[in-house]
Amino acid sequence: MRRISKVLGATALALVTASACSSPGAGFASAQPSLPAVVFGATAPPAPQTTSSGSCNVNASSARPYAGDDSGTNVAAIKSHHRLIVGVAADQYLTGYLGADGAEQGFDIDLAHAIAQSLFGDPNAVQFKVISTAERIPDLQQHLVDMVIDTMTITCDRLAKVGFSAVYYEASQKLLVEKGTKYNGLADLGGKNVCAQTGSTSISLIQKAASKPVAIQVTDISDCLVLLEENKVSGISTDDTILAGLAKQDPNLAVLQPQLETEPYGIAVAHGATDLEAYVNGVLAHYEADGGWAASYAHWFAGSLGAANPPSAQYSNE
Amino acid sequence: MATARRVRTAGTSPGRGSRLDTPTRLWLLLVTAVAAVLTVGLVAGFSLAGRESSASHTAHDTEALYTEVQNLSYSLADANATAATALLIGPETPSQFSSRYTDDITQAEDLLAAASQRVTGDAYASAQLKAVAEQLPEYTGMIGQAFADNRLEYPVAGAYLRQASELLTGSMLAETWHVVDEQRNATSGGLGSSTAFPWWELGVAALAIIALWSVSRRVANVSRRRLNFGLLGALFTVLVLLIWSVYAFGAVSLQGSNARTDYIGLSGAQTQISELSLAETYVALQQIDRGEDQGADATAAAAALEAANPGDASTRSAYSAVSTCATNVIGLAIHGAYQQAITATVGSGSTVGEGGCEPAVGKLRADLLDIASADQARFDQDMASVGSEYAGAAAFPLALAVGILGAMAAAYGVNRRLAEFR
Repeated sequence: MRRISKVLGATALALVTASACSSPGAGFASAQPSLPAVVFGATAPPAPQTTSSGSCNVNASSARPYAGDDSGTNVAAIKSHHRLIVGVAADQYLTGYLGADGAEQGFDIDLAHAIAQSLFGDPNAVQFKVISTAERIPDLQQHLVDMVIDTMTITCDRLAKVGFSAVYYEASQKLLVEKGTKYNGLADLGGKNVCAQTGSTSISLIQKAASKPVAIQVTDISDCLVLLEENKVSGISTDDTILAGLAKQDPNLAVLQPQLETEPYGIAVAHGATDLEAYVNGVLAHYEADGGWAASYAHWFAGSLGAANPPSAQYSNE
Repeated sequence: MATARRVRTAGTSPGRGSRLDTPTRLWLLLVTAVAAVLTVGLVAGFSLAGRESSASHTAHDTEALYTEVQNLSYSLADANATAATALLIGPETPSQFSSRYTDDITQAEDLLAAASQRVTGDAYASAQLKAVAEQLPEYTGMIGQAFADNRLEYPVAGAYLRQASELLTGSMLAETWHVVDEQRNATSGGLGSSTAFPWWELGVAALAIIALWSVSRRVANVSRRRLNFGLLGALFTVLVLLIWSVYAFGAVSLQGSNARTDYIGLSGAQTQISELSLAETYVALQQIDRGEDQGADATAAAAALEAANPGDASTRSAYSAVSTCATNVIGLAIHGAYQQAITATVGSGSTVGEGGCEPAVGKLRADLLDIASADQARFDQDMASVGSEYAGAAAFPLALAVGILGAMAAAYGVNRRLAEFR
């Protein structure tokens, strides 16, 4: 009897430990998302953004997670087709790209698996739909994808068209140039070609720069790397996460340290799908709390971007 | 002398009203007959030699250049298809793919060198081939970079492949196809001119026969001798030249028609092989781009697959296997089942690179290459027959010799009458 008690006790302990240390999302097995137990307060909330569509707080634009929110219309609709359709990138090394086995990999992909795990109890119950940067909002509006996890910056303009989760990563926009060049920032690239993805926030940043660099737009960020390696552009402007992936593919390139702009990443959902926002925020809270976020970050970025913590979650109805 | 006197007496009647005396008129008739027969000989000689030369030029130069640029187009398209499929397989490029790519590029370089020498004098084709030759190192450089990045599992490999493919399909193949079209038209034109009906010979021979008949009648009037064997001999040689030309036309019409049929088959098979390689490329690119091109690769793959259809009974099953497999793969990729699409394209595990659609594509490619090879052999044989029907290189001297014989016969015949006045 004592032996049986010991075995049961050990099993229970093992289950609790496994739940706490599981791989990203593994602890969600169809559980209802709830408020995070631990909040990492790494990033101070920035001032509200003002754009042509008005002012907004991009860091606190999303619905607060609450228990039982998987009964919402949008979450139920996803559950009814037994798989999560996620719009992702295929060529963004470290964030969303195709691995040697042809499967999607990266920081954003880990997050998609965590949400699928929570929804269906299976991290692989996810279908990745590769989309270009310019297709992200139209695909959400036409419900071709359930959500987009593709290093997508939350902006006021975009908030008018789609919904976003709470910020899951605070990126910063930087420049990638060849090592040994005299360039230190956009100010040195006046009249030079600077590459960025069509439909990205980087394009407007280049176009607004006082030094007047020439914005070269491409569909895939990898095309920017080819252009830089062929000396057809002098620099690439995008988020540090993506630049870290590009720099890792060519040791002759270096990311310039000056930060051009802060880029809060959010998981985009259809406009008005607040139940889905709330559900995703619950998953995010768990993902950050159970070490899934930290494990994924360490795996993909620790070597190139240094240590980081998840951003502190803020919600619109706080 | 008696004869001469008789002639003089008899000659007064037909020469009435003429200021020329009989010997002078006979001299003029002699010159007319000789000139008429010689003209027929010369025209027949030039015409037969011209058509023989046209057939030979078409077979040995124009069509040969056409085949070279078609093969160049296939080598380039196949190199690209091989590179794209190799990237689909994974970071380790299977050796059969590496060697096939290297062989394709080596063959493309050899064909470019051979075709560039052959187009000397054709400024347009020379410029097009020069542009392809200049772009080839750029293309191989990008593919080399794609292979290197792919080995390190870097996604930029796909970007290099995409750029290389755009250079190849958008520029290099387009330039090659311009030369293919030019040489296809030249080959068709050469086939037409080498098997054309001999209207010139027919017209000139008819005029010569009328001239000889007229000369014969006038000589008969002067001499009161109905038959002039010399002029009959001349008429015979004109008829021989005429019959030779018409017979050669009839014979080459059949051979030329066969050659044209073979050429159409050859041209079709060569185009279909290139289209099959393009279909392979776009199928692979669709899976590498994963829909970021908004379906352009899928559309291009379906179009190339359709253009690769030989549409004949002998290849129906092979094409059907490829079409079914590729359509399934395109559908899988469209619906986001990329892993299944890759497996369905190239196989998986120990059969990767040899499974999926690869065996079906290999079978259709081999069938099309066999068809092209057989059509090429038949075309060469038919064109050689066309040349031999015209007596080959001997056509001109032979026709001229017959014409000279006829002219000598005419001169002999009229001169016999002229001798009666000496």
